[in-house]
Amino acid sequence: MEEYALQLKHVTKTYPGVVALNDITVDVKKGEILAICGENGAGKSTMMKLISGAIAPNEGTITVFGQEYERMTPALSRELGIEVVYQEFNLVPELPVSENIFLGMYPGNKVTPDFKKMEKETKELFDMLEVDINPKTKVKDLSTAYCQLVEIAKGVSKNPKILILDEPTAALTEKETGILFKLVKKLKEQGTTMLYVSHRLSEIFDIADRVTVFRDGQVIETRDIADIDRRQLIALMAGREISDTYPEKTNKIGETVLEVKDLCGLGVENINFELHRGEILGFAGLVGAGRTETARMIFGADKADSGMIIYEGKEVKITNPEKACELGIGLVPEDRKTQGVIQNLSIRKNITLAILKLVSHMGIMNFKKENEILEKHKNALSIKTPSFEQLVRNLSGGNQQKVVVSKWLARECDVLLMDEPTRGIDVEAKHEIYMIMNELASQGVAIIMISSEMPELIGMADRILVMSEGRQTGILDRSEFSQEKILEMASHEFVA
Amino acid sequence: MEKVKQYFVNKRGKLTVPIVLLCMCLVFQVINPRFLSSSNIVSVLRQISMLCIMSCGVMFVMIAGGIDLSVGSVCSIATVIWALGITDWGLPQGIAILVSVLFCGVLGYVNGWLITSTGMNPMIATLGTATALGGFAYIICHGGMPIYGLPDSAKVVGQGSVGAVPIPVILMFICLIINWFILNRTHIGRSFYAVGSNEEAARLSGLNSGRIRRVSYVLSGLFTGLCGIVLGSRVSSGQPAAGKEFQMNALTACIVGGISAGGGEGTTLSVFIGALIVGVIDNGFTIIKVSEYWQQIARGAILVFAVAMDALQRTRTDKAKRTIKRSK
Repeated sequence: MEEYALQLKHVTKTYPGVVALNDITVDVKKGEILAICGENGAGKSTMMKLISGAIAPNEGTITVFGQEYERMTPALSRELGIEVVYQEFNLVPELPVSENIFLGMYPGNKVTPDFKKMEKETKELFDMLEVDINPKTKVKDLSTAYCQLVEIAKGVSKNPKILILDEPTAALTEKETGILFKLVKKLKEQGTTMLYVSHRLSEIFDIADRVTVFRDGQVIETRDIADIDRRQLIALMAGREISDTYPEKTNKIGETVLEVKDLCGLGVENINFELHRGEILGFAGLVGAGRTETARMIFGADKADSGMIIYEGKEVKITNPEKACELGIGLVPEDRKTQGVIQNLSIRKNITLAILKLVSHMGIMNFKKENEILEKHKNALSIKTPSFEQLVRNLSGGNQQKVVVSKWLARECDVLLMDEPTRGIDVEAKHEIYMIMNELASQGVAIIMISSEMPELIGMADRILVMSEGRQTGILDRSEFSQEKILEMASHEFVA
Repeated sequence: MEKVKQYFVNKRGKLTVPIVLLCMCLVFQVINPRFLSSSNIVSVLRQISMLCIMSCGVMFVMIAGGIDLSVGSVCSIATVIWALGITDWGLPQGIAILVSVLFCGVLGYVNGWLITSTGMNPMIATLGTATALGGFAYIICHGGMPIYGLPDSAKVVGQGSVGAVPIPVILMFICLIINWFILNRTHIGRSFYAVGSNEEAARLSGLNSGRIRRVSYVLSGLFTGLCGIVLGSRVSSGQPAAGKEFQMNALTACIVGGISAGGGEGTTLSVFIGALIVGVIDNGFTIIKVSEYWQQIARGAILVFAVAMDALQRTRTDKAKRTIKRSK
């Protein structure tokens, strides 16, 4: 009798310039619930993709029920009874719940599916899971929380031997979380092995048997849940010395340039802060804490429900990004590839996108002026390219990000909102971005830096605003910075 | 060796259209040596002049990520208003042209406004306005009848020529130059490509994507209006249904010329080549005495071929994109 359901042995996965997983070994015992936790980017999702077969490891093996494999494929992992329930929904909104559950494997013959049977079996499944959803309801009429439950039920309907849940409670409220836990415990009684990935620490203590902590692509430790408390777990997740070097700070903090009062909207509530000239204000929080939403509302990319923005002493209504740009506010968006750059345009056209009015006269482009501005910022950012006519899609991630930053450098903004400015770019490019940020700050530009990398925030920011579940849990001064403290504030759970 | 191969793989989509044009010319020339005579070349250019002027406008809309299916009806309205202006309202020639073209610009604005203010699908919105404006063209005519009785001076725009070069051809080249200038030398031209390629990124760079798309529809209306004037002058009447035929050809020219249906791509030269292909099919088949119905089939086939090439390329790029995403 094999003790382990799933074992990853010395698995390494590298991407160009990044080691996503570094020689990790994870054992999952039969019938247990193993929680996987770690900060954003610690390697949790890479591991799940390896298990589901979406990607292949560079080194190491995956053993399922004693059988060793070099890699998984989606077909193989399904055949072995592995089912992954992802955070994103893969449901068809226009179809009823029952058909979604059986999508791709309708009972009955190929031409006329047996809808009655589908409904009946869905009903039985829901009864078994004690979920109260009518199988005939269309998915689009369900709340997000119930969609998540349907998604989980869909996974369960395939009778998996190993079920992997990725942040299943991210969309759930207290009540549905309760239903989910009952379901998880029921499955455990039936002998299903589960991997449970979650940010929410209290949940881990509620249901998991053991917990494995990931950090920077490595497995830090695996412990029985009985042998660890919340404080120790946070220490394990954070507990790294800041090894990366950050450029020395030379900025001087000046007067207030931007003041945000009681900003609400998009699930974000009551954000209050002041931003000063020459200051780098970090935004810390877990994924879904509302940091991006806050930045987008300040920039006018999304509409805020209420709140006041005071810019240079005057109250302003920023209703769209155009207005924000006119005021001198720039945004380096979270998703570089789809929101930051325009892939099909050249570097030149991307950089001058925000200053078309400045480099044209009566609507006609002034190429001489455009070239001057380009040359000026090329040196500042060292974009590695033979020519400005190169299409942005041919550049590496780091260079693309430099193009986005250049766009706002050219605009000479007073306030720059940077959402994950160094995500997915190599170390060298990261360092260059840090240098630019410091340079800008010492010139008096106020920067808001959203980052999920704690050391980066601590290394770069003058103050850090911490958010959790759409609310502000505090602002820390540089003297108060510590990973434990930030993580504690970021995982603060509000009682409903 | 691998590099050479890669070069052609990269260029394949871009070179197809000119090569197709060359091959067609070659085949027609072999069958009938009169095909590449100077008089026939001028006649091909005259045939494509109107649809090319229309394409010059529609391509702005397509580059900015939209589509304008109302250009046929707008073109008809242009001929009718121009003819009415001269016959019924007694306007001077120049003013009649101006009024008609500007009115078409306004119609373009209405299209753009409908689409950007509601977020309607451009294809459906302009299909609706096309139908409505088609009816409107008949209503402003005298009881739905074409408007005749134009003075001879009104025929100059459509039928006159400077030396051996017909005036419509000159107008076409002027329009192509204006089109090229707007796309390459103005800031609104840049913005069309930006909005068409990635509206969200353009918006987050402070561009007013709604206004930019409205401008593209206004330009589409203006060029279509001019096309209508040339058309009306050519048939020396106001025809409430004359624009329909041009609409399909103008859209075909754009798409064959490589204006991506997804937006953000396309150049003036490529649209001119697209228009030439449409013209060469019509002219060539007539010259080698193949029936009009076969011409229609050929036009359709070439359109499907062009769109298929575009789609295939898109799938390839998408695949490449996914690969990059995963390797992040």
